[in-house]
Amino acid sequence: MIISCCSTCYEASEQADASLPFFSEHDQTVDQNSANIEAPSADLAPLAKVKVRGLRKEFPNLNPAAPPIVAVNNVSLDMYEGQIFALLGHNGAGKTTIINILTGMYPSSGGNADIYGHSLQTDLSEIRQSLGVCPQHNILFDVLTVREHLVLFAMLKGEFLLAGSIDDG
Amino acid sequence: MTITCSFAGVPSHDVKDAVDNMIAQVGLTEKANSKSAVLSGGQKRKLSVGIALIGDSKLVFLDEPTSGMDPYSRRSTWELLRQGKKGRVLILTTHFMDEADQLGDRIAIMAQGEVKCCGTSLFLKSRYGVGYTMTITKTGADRQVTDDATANAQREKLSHSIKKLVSSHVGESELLADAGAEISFRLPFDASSKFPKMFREFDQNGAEHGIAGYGISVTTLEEVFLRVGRDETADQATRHANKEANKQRRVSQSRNPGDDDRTSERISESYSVDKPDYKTPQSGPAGAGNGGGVVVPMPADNVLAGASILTDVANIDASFMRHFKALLVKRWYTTQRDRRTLYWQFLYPFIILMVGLALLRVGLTFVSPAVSLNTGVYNSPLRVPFNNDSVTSSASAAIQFLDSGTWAGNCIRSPWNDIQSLQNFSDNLLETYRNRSFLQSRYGAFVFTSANQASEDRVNMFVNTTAGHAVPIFLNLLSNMYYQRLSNRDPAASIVLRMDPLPLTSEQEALTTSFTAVFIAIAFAFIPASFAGFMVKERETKVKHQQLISGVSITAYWLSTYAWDILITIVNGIMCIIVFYILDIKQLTGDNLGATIIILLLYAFSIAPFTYFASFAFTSHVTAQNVLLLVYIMAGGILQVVSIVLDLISATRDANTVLKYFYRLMPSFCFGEAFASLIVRESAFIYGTSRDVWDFDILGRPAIYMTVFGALYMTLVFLVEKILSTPEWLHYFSNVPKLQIDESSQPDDPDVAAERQRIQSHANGKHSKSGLRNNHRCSAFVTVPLTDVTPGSGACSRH
Repeated sequence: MIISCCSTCYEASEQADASLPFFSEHDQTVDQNSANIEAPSADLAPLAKVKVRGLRKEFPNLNPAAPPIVAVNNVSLDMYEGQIFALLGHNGAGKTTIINILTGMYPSSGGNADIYGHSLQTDLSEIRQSLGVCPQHNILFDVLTVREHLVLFAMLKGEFLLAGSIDDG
Repeated sequence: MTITCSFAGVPSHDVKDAVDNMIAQVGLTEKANSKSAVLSGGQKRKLSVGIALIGDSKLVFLDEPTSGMDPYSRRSTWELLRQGKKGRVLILTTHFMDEADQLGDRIAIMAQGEVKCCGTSLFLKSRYGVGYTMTITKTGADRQVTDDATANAQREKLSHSIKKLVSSHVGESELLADAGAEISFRLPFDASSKFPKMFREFDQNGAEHGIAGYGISVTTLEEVFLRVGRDETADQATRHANKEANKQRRVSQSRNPGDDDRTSERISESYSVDKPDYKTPQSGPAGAGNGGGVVVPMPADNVLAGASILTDVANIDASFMRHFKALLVKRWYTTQRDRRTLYWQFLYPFIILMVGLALLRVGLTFVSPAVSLNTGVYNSPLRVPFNNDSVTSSASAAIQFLDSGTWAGNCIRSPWNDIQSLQNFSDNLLETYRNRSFLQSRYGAFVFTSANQASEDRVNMFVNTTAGHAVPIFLNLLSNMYYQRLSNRDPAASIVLRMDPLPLTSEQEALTTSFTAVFIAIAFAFIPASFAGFMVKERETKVKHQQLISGVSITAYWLSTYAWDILITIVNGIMCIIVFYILDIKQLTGDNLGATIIILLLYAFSIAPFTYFASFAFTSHVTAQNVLLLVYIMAGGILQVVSIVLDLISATRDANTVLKYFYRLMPSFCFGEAFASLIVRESAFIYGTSRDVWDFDILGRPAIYMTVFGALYMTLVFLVEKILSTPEWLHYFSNVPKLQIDESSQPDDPDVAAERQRIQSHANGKHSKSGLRNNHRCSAFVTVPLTDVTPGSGACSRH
């Protein structure tokens, strides 16, 4: 697959091939942990719908002269459709930071993620069309009922028809 | 409670079914119609999980979903997640290792921001786990021990025997603990094939070796986690995951010798179960072959398939209306539920408008009554300090008059003897009025003196200037004294002085009515202030973010907010017009009703964007609401009064003309100014001539300002949102580190360098002026060090 890299050609190639991958096939970082990472079986590989590559997040240090605090350092992960991916780590290990980057709450300081064929860096709004988040701290409307919360978010997220009228309770 | 919401986005039966289903699944059926504020912590978590899972989201993040849940709820949530993972990528963080073990198809353990290991539960256990832990209970443990020394000796003997037995079967076994009646060993994974034989031996001959019972368990995920946390990876790295570690669940068996043999067989069977999905690589170093072994290279087709699952860009327009309607429903619910909002948006404006304008109206219609000006308006009887002796003929006549009691004001002469000089007299009056037994205020006094010639009369009148009308009253008293003398004390001869104020001129009335504008501006200050409170609260509590990551675009979010806020302002505007009619404010009703409606509409159009723009400056909704309320009252009310006053004074009029250009940046000021101008436009006193409604000085200028700045502020709101959501731009406004890869720190692979050069030559060809790095449009696909380019393919990855 040949993809031109000058800007004008790039526009054209995007038209022609909407599936432009954000990483080449062998886009991998080799690190000392590679032996600690299990490769998936061949039949699972096509289900890798979320591919995180080299994700990095730095927060500025309080002292401007000091080096920034690295919250997430070169994280590469594959997550598979139909699976639950459990992210473990002690407090402050960077789990929530990764989630915040992948939901677009913070910009990343480096790296990218391919989420169902969309680049996190450039196609955030498309990614958010199909995102569900249960944040660490409940984010709820105090005055809305349980049902109204679910109706609201079902309407925001789902492709539901909006005709008709129901009694809401 | 039945809420039928028929005006905006109405949930269809699809939504109803999905919502009912989700309520049942998260176990909140009984709480379905309870406000979220009254839910317990665990119930809130369940609702949050439900919100994350509802809809057809392809990527679901659950950040510690079960924290605060009871064990029963946790298990039902696990079931929900197991069902919910189908057809989507579900990412879960948790501090419960059993939860990760039960739910996680793949588990990644992080430390210091790095992924330390990743794989199936079994993979992690085999990589980090120490193998199996076997615990053996020694015989004689529960016997009555009479002699410690004997018991210890016996136990040691047993221990020795058991150790020997275990090591004869599994040579690599390691003694973990030998305390009391229990002895435990660590057995490596490799040795699992030897277990059946060993267990058979235990079952058959255990008693001979002093084995009362035994149990074996695989390393728990918790042990793995702790090991990773301790960073004990170095010694583990030498072990390779080249074993068929197939056991899917934790095995724990506890058996007594002499029972049937099938148990051990079952264990051995379970070891050989092969789950094809979770095969580990055939050999450790194999991973290096494809550049790390983390991910099997994926064909490009998969990316295509993935792209089609997500909503296409074209569908985003369709979703806009859906989001728009849903957000209006949200505002409808939140507005009617929140009493404080209702007060700020409807009650306070109404009270201020009604009471303020009514008082103003009363002030205008009130006509001061006619008053007779005599000393009767003060204390009665009023003691008037006076000469005691008749120094002149006028004095004796005056004394006579006062003493006769014919004066209508009921005055009594208060004689003074010691009048050396007028100054002394005045001082005495001031010093002594408290000392007298007839404690009362003094309003006036008379001193008759004769000058050098005895014939010349001189009368001095003292007046307390703090009393209203004191001068005319005492002057009239004096006039009456002389009139009595001239008329030879004719009882009918008296001068009556009356004060009868004239009604307000139309100018005066217009000026007073112009303060109506101040009250309107103050009443309408509450409404946008409460908008700010809502916006900042949504941001503060992160529900705004929650909505944005649910797919709501910035445009849908702000436009729905804008539409709702305009609606609220218009409802208040209608209320305002009704009040004008009730109180019959002619300048704003009748022929001028059209102008009034235009001002109110333009206010609705312009104040909401101003509020949104200003709301970015606040982090607390309470502060935002109160500060902006003050700003709007200042701008629309107080600044308005100041401006009117400065305009009336010719010396400050020019300065005010300049100042008003700045005031008008705030729509509140334009709003108040428009109303004030509309009210006084017929007053020739201010404008010289009566002005037309659409004159530049009346509605023209404020209307143009509100239109232009309303649009400008809305544009600024979108600009700020764009900046906030664009890291490259945000960098220029804050200290967020710029998104960049430090290329100098790592040397390029030769092929990456070659590729970079190739791209740069391309870029230079197309854009001769600048290199790739400097070209803005190119920034999206700069080669980065982590990119490994397949030689010859010409592929380039996007960063």
